[in-house]
Amino acid sequence: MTIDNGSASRPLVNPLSRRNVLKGAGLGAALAAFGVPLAACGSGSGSGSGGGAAAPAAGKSVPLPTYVPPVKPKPTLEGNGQGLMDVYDSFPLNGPKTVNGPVGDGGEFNFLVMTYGEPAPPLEENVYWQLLNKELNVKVNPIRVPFADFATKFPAMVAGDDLPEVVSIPLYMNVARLPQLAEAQFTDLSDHLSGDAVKKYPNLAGIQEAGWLNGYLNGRIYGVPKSDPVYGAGQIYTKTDVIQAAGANPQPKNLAEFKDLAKAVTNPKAGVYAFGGSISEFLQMAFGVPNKWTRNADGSFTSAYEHPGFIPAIQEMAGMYKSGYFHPDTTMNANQGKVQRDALFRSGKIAMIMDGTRAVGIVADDKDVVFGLMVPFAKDGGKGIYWTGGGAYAMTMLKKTSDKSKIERFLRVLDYIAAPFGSRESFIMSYGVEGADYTVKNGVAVLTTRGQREQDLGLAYIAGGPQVLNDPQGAPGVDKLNYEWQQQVVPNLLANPAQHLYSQTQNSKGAALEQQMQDAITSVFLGREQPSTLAPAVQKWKAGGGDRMAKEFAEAAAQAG
Amino acid sequence: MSVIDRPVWLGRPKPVAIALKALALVLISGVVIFPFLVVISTSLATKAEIDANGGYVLWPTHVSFDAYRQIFDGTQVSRSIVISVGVTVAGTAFSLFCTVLAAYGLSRRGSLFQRGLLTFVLVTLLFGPGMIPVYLMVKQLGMLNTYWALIIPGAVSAFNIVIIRGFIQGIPQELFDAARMDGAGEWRILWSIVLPLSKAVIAVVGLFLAVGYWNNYFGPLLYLNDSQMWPLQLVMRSFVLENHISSNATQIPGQIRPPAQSIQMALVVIATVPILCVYPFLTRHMSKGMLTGAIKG
Repeated sequence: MTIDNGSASRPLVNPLSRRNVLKGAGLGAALAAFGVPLAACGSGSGSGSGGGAAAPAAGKSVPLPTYVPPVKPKPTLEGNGQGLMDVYDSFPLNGPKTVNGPVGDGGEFNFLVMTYGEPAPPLEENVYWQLLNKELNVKVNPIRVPFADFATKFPAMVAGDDLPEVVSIPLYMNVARLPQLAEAQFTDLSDHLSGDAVKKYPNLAGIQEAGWLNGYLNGRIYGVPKSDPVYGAGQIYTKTDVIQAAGANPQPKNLAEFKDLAKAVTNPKAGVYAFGGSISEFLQMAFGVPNKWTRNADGSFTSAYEHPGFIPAIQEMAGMYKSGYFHPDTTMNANQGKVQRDALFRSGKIAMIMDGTRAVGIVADDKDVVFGLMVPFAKDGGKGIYWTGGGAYAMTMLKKTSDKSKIERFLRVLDYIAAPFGSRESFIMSYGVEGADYTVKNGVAVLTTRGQREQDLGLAYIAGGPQVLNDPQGAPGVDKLNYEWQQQVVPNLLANPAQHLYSQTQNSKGAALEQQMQDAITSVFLGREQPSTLAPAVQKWKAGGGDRMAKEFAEAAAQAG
Repeated sequence: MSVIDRPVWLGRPKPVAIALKALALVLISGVVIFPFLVVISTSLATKAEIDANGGYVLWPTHVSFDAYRQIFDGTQVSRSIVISVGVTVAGTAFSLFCTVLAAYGLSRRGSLFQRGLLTFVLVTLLFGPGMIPVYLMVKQLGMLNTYWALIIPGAVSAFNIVIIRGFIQGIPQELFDAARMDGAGEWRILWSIVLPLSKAVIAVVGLFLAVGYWNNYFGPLLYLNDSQMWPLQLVMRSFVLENHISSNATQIPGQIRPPAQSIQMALVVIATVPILCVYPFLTRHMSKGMLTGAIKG
């Protein structure tokens, strides 16, 4: 698939495109920053001997919220419940109203949220903020924390018992003993959201199961999710003009063709290289390596590191590095030097980069960039698997309270924020005040600079259902390109069976063990170590906690049924 | 150094030695100047030029101030600069006041609890309190979400006390004795004898403190929940993080946004210039201090 976006310079816009693109692109970077374990988790802290199975049981497990498809305008290209995203040509200016009756009670709505942008102007100068206060009938007071610093501030606030009423926790942050923390500090929302109870909040009912699973702890519902596209970060973006100029095929069908492509485009004299940064995940998928874990027929769990395709995949990448296909100025970590890597990609010095699915916005914004999306393939030909992510990137919780009115107000506000694309509420959240925050050109709402600045309150990160592809001002065809890529990938999506299971070992040691494995992979990739060192590294990982994780996941899965 | 300035005991340097020294100085200067040049050039470069150069520019062919406009246009940067200047000036003054008093007291042998207090101060050099305890203390003192939280917790540093105390101890005892014979009390001695003679060390410590307050982002991150109160470094960090993870993702429809590298480098310039402006004035005092030390006794 190829796109030549030669006539426009606009971003990929789903309703929250700017933030969403940032989020997608920055996930890996943020992951690296969130290694700090949480110190305090209240009196419910367990002994650490168990995983999900050993987590404290707050009460009887409840069913997840009943899914009720949201009211939405008919999309240009219809998505599906498996992850294929709806495509819209434009954002309806007069969408249906999805929230009826009063939302708030005029009180304060203090919330802690991680953000990706600079602080918004103060309330008195911010018409967007004023509009939101009026719409929600609350006084919105965000405590904004830059995404890379959330793991620093959050433990201190927990220790000082300073968490505000509403807390949005990014799910890639490794919050130690999360189930225990939830039980000790946050409100069990099960009675208000489980099963058909969620229908009282129709926009929350429109959030799919993959999102809700992230807020489902100890068999109870503690958090409202901000849904994420299902695709994990392993997508190859191709600089198709460079590839075609080299006479190569931008869509290889197997590993041999992929290597031919890399060889054809690499031209050190011209400063052009096939890759910028690691392509480890992409190659592992080509080798059929499962998504982190496999749940076996007997209920046991096996790590992807033990899959027979893992070491050969890394070995292949090391071979390509040795052959000189990787740009020397790019690092192993896809997120270190990302800005420079993206610049090299846009200028045609790198022919292929691996990134998250929403990073398409980065290249779609640039009218001069000609790019495509490579459909994953199996090593020997045929359809390749594609790993999914967690279905949400944040969940929002309410500080422990038994005050029913507080809980209902919280859920009504989140119901408004989670309004689906095309609704009146979603439009207000995305565009604000006409004239000040956006203008309408040719029937399309366009954010002004002021509108862009004023929106950085963080509300957009705390709740939301399925996202859509909507890029009326972006590169022509970029949504269709993405949609077609998704169509081919969706049938081969592979979930991580441990994604929503809790393991104490994973929680406490997972980040360090993962770093240990990544270091081993990097050493082999860069030729500092032989591929034969990977097998001992995997054994060390298993002995260090990997086996324990497998056991805990198996117990948690058995308990969850 | 001219012939006239050269001491009589120093022989005429050989041309090779002069050339080597010159080369060394040029190389060292280059190492120092090169990053600054890249930072300033990249902050003024266009996107096309940055892409063409693989991320950074040594000398822009087309100068653009778009990155600076982007940073100042409708953002909190101007406000945060005022906050940072205020916190830096007030914090430095308060810290110097406390540090000099503590150092003077601890430098005078025989003052009340001198040894015990000195030990107490030195222990803090070895054992830091940790982030959470300090946070809890700030909270208990009611300083959360106030500017006091940026000044009080780090106002007195044992390291700075040790430096100033050491300097004061180097002042000849005869000066103190003479002052006392003239009827001066401790405050008068501090004000009229110690402070004038300690200008150099106070300038150095003041610079340390000012740079610390100016660059502090961790304190504001922890203690300030209201982003309208954020000082420059925290606002800058938001910009840097936003532009670190994506180069074009913050594009506004229909507008050409400056490239991320330009914005990042412009931020570096904005954050660095005030310190660079202050530094030359303080180095004069530092030179004096060295000379004072050289001829004492």
